[in-house]
Amino acid sequence: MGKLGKAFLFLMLVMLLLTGVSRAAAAFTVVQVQVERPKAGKIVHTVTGEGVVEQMSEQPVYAVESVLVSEILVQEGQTVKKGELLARLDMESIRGRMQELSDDMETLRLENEELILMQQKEQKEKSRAKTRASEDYDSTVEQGKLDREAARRAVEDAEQKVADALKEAEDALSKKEEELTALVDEAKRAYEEACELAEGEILAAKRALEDAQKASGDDYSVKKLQLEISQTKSELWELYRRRREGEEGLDTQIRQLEDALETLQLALKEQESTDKRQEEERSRETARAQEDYENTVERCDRLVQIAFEALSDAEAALEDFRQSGAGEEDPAVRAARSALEEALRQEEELNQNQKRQELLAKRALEDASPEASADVTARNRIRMEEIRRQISALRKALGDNGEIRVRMDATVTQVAVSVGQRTADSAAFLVSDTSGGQLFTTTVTREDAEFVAVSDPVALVSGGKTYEELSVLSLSTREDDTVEVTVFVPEDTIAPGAYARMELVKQSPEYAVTVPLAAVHTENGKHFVYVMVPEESVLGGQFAAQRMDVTVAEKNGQYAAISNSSLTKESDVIVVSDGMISDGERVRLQEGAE
Amino acid sequence: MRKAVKLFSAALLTVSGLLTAAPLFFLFCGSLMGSGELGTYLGPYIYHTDGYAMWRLFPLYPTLRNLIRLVLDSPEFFHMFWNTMAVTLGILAGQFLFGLPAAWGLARYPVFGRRLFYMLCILLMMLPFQVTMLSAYLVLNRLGLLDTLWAVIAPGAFSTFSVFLMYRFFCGIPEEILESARIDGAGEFQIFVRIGFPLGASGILSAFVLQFLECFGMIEQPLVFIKKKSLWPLSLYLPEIEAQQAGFALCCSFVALLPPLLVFGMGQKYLEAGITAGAIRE
Repeated sequence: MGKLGKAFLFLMLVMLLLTGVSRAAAAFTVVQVQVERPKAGKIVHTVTGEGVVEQMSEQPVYAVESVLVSEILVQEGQTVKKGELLARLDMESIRGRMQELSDDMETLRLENEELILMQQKEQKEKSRAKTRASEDYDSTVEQGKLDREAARRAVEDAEQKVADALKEAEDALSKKEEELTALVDEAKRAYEEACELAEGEILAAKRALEDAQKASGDDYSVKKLQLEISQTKSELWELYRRRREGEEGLDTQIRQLEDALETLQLALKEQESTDKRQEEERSRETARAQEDYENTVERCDRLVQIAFEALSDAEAALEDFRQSGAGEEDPAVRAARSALEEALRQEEELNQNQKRQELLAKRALEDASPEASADVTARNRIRMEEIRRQISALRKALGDNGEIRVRMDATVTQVAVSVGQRTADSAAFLVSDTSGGQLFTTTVTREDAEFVAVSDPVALVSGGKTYEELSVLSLSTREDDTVEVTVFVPEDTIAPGAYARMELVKQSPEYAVTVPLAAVHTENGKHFVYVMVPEESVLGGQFAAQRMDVTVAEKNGQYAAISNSSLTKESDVIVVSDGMISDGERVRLQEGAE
Repeated sequence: MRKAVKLFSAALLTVSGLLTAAPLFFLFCGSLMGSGELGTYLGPYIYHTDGYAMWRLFPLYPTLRNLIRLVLDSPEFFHMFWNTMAVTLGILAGQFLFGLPAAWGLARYPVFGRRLFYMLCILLMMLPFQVTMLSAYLVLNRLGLLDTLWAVIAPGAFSTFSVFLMYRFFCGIPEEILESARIDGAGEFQIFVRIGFPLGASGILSAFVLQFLECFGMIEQPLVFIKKKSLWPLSLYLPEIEAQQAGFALCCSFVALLPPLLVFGMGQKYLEAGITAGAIRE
């Protein structure tokens, strides 16, 4: 074996070694994946939220207004029993306030009495003025009615006159139009007759001219004689030729033919002179016929023109009459119309005057009526009633020795007064009722809120205990784009102020194909999964990742329901990979994974 | 004058030799070029840019990236290389088993119809593959050999080209030598092994070298008879490489060139004898 042989063997060994190396390297670089097969199932949505249980309602505890507070005995958040003392008011301050209010009350009473006396006096004066105004109003209305009636009658008369004048004018116009129409019809008939006559005469003259022209050129006698002369000459020349060739006995025939030829030539001359004379006569006749024809046409045209002008004049007169009849109005009609317009104008003026007078009378009547609105007296009365209530409250506070007590078992949620300050007209304390149940409030994201609805059953976990069969009371969107969920908590379950966690579980309908959410990838808003498919490659049977577009119908944090895809329950969906994969890339199952 | 002619001849031969070897040199240089450099030179072909492709004698930025990719990231290349070797060696083994005895028999035994059989061999050798493709496909299909390496090995094992070549060499062995052997008591098989085989060795080797070169670059037969990619030979791998990976393709080509080059070197002198023998008229 030479050097080249050894080199060949060495090459084979190197290739064998590199085969192993490349295989190992490829196995190292191939992405390892874990697959999972799609399965039917429901998508379970669990919405959780944390919050505090609070009282469902707060009730105010009022104290009398503008009184000094001498002592406050509770703090915010403190639970109190029914009748328990909340605060104590200063007794001197209560008495002082009572005195102030009594003084105000007396002042208002005196003011009211004075006002009532003044009102009674004014009332009497106004009553008299009202009676007079009412009488004026009634008489004005009555007079107005009479005037309107008179104006109405005047308008009706004027309208009747206009109608009569219009009728007369129409009758006169129609009569004149009929006359003019008759004139036009007569002129039209005369024109048509003239046209017909002219046509007849022109036709006769034209025929005479055509006859005169046709008479020339009808004579064929000359041509006939010329033809006979020609034939006779031919025959004669034939006889001459035969005689020259020696034929005998032809002289007689030749002579006869020569005679005949001479006779024919004489006849031809005579015929030609006759034709010439006749031609001259025909020319003269044709010229005369042409002249007659032209004269006839000219005369007829003139007659037709005269008739047409007469017709045009009649039509123009009729048209003028119609136009003047439509544009101008008869003087009688015009006068009647003016009278009608005048009557209408007077009626309108009368109506306006009447309305004005009635309005004035009505206003006078209204001015004379007593005022119906609330006056100073009424206002004073209201103020006095209010003062009376305050005095009554102060009297009660005096009876209670200035003590403010709670009227139910409750929790103090707000203290709005302080020692040494005067009370306001708002609540002095806010207390929450512990007898009607509580509210649990939490916030969830908008995405989670899609699975929450009012009346949905929820569970609350608080203090290691789970309270089930609770329900969602309300949902409201907050400004920060979260949704506030409120759950009603019955009394004797969770104490107010306790921390709790809400759990709401909602299941979707059954889906035929669900895959782990980790298998679903998104690109440009489209969802897809990679499916491991067997592939025949150079190295034999292998697996490759095949991209498959899917539509995610619903998903939760773990699974996604797939619709509109060719995924089947036999598809090996790639869930986990130890590297980036792309469509068509070689993959292999992770060691130990099934 | 004679010296000048000699010098001119040498120069002419040198230039011709360099031109002939240029593609091989370009192949080697190209395998050491990066894709960026090759893209610049072969842009009009790869990226259809304006102008014409050009070439540099030596790489501007030599790199072994293509070779490393071949070794570490192309197990397909080696898989196909061994497919090629299996097909080539299988065919050569078949020819050793069937072609060699056939050529000896035709050359040395005056059996009836020998001439006709020999002509038939020549006819089959001259027929191009495209002519026999359909019939070969039908036969292989009936035998159930399609889509296996045997679909390429079996027709190649019975190739008549090597029979034709070896026949020539066996005919050149003097009859007296064989007669002497028979007188000395040698059997026919002994004569074939002890006399025919050594004396016709150059013919046998030249036939095998030629067959190796042909089988190593076989394209049509595997393309027609084998669908499974895992059975494809190396000759079908190179066209699969995209034009954008020209450097890698050149590197693969260069490595694929090495075995035929070595075999050619080993059998060069026998090959020349074989070609000469094939050129002699009957």
